[in-house]
Amino acid sequence: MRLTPMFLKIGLLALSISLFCQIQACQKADDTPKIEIENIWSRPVQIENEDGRVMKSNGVVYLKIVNDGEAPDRLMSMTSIVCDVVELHETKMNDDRMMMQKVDGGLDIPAGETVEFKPGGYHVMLIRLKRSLVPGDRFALQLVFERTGTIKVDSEVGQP
Amino acid sequence: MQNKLTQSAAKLLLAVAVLAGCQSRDSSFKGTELPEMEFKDFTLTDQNGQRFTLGEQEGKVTLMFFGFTYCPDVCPLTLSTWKKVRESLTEDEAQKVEFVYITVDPERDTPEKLKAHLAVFHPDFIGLTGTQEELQPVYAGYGVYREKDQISDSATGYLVNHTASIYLLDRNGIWKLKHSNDARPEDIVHDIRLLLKY
Repeated sequence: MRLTPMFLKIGLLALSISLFCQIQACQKADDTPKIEIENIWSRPVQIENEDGRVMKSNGVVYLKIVNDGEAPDRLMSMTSIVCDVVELHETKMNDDRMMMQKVDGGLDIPAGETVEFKPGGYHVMLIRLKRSLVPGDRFALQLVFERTGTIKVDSEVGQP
Repeated sequence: MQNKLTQSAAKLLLAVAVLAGCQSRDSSFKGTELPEMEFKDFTLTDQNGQRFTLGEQEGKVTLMFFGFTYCPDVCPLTLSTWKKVRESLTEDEAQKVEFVYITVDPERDTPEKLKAHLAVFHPDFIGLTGTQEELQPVYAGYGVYREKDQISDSATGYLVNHTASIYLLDRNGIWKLKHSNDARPEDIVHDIRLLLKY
């Protein structure tokens, strides 16, 4: 079979496209999220009454999730030893009405962006605390991300 | 001569206008002024199990907030702001100011729960609860929106959506002002001091 210039051109083009796709695929494989958790703090909560009886109480954690990577990630769930259940909640204001909602299905952390949990917005809700949170206390919180996996951090209890 | 007199008069008028402007800025409230409302008395139970009647707080400026102790975000934020406000007042001023936190979740906010919750912030803060029959007229009287969110599948059980403004009542118990829950403490202190002058 004789190779005409046209066939050569088509062959070279196909080869270039194939190489380009492989390079892209390699780059994609290297694209990962780079998650860091910053500014982690909680408010103090007293769960015992004067007689030492424990009452059902909730707490809160605020923090910043920084994604310096090239790919997005997703916060899937959280756990902590200081409470029974940890949920992600969001406060929304409608004029002077406050509405608090549980955020289901995880929270996207886009590539190159920071998502801040702060009063009046996203917050980590610690449900049914097992002990009081006293200013200066530290306790562990685990955040599970879809791609990064589990990140363990310490939250410090601030002043009321 | 006449020109000079006219100029002097104009300068004097300008100075008076500037002073009047400053005066009006100094005496104006930082919060939103509320429409005139007649005095609405109520009696509820405080965190020590004692009855609290608004009408007995004669001559005091009252800060009022409607919240619930299961709320971890906006309600503690407000109490944190109140703590800064309370600590900015002189002891003499503080004697004439009441901080009143009324629950929107009486099913869970017992006096002992309110006591533990408020103790973290300041011992002077008053937490009030009561029966639905006692609380409903208070919510209605102050136009407070309060709705249990039964749809949420949160492990905390139900949540309560509610009005989250800080109200200031004057020394006659008449509501005068509204601040948002993220108001600057110094703005609230400013308004308390103005209300104490009346």
